[in-house]
Amino acid sequence: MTHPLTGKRILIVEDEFIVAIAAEDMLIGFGAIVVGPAATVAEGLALATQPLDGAVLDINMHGERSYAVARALRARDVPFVFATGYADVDGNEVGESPVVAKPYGADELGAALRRAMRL
Amino acid sequence: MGESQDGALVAVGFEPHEELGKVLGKVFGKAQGMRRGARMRKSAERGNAHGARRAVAGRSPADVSLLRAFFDASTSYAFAKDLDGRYILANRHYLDAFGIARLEDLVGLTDKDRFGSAEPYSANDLRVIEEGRPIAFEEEARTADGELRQAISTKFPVLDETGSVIGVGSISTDITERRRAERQRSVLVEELNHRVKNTLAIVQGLVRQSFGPNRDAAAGLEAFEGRLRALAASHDVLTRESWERASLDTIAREAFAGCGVGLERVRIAGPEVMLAPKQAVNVTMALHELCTNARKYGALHGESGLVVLMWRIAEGPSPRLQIEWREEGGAPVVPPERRGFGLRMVEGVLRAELGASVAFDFAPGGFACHVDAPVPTAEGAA
Repeated sequence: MTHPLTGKRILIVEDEFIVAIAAEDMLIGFGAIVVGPAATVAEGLALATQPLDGAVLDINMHGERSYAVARALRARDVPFVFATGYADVDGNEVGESPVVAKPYGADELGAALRRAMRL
Repeated sequence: MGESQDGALVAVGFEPHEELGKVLGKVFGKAQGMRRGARMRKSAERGNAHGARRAVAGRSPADVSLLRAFFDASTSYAFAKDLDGRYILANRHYLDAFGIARLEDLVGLTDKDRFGSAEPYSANDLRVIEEGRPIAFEEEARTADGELRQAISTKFPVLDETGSVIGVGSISTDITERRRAERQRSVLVEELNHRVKNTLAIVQGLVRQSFGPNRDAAAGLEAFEGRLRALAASHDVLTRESWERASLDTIAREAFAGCGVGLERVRIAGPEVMLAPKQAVNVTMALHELCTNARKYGALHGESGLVVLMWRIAEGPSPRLQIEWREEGGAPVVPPERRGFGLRMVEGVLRAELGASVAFDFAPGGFACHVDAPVPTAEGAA
């Protein structure tokens, strides 16, 4: 039985490389195709223009917030989840998007993505 | 409040000097209206130094100067106003904070005169006058140095001998520094929380990479413990530097020591380069992987080889940091069939943290790794 995320193109925006490859491995484990990981907001914005089915956005990127990437994705109707170790997230920016708390496991990430992508 | 014949101002218990006496007489004459006016005017005519001095009759000059000393030595801001909102008294600390040289320069002015306020009285002053009891408030004011300062002010009604309110007094404790410390503490707690979560996420990443499905558990454990030690070592370096920055040289030495490599097997040289905390952690992890590889497969595997780690700043319109890791004197190098997590991590963290391009060279004479990055600014990534 294939995972619902199989073949889906998922963007990872995460500035901590060791965390990014953990996310990458989880997504590859679901059979998804990873776009990125983007290590900066600028890279994330550049990759957000590519064909995407979903995304995982770390909120705090080198002291900068990734909300600009979130807005770019929303403008294209690409569903996404936020991942953060922060307790205080900006509710206005996060909106209805699921938030997974770091450190997250593969099951949590998969469930949050499926919720966001309505799979 | 002591009793006085001429008004409550003097009831604060000071021997006003001549100038003040005059002003006080005028101020209170008006403030008290008809009932007290005549007496105050009479007092003013007599020359108020005299009148005011009479007001503290019954107190020895020693008492008065003692009170004056307390008043002026206090690091609270203290002042009193009459019912028209005119200042009638202020202590040295208050005058200094607002850049007022002499008390006479303040007396008779209202907040409207001084700050362009709409009303001579603040809402807090009015409340104290209306309720006729001391009330504590948190207030803020811009002092002469341009800083907006916070204070806890106790305001109290100044009464005459009949118990009528004839003014308002205020004593304020400056809490600007305390508030700043509280904000700083909450920033630190938030920062610490973020750092812990981030570190846990990194540890999770290391666990995933060290205990992959195809790995022998014992080898995985050894790899994981080594990585955990490197992570801890980078935190030690940063703790010594108050988590502000770390030098590349220190980090390199820690990384080799963490792998159990004696410095006799290593040549480290380069100008001072400071890294931001997050960069320092990740560069340590990258060096740890290179070091582990060298021990397992490279120049540090046997007894004779060594590692040369050198870096330089290539000057130019946008200066570059060039780091070279070169292994010498080891067994002939055989390029790996598949790039493992170690080298993937070296390339990934250096690209993500330093914006570096990374090249590996599996030359038969010795493995090498070339890193080319913009010169890091220690204020960069936090």
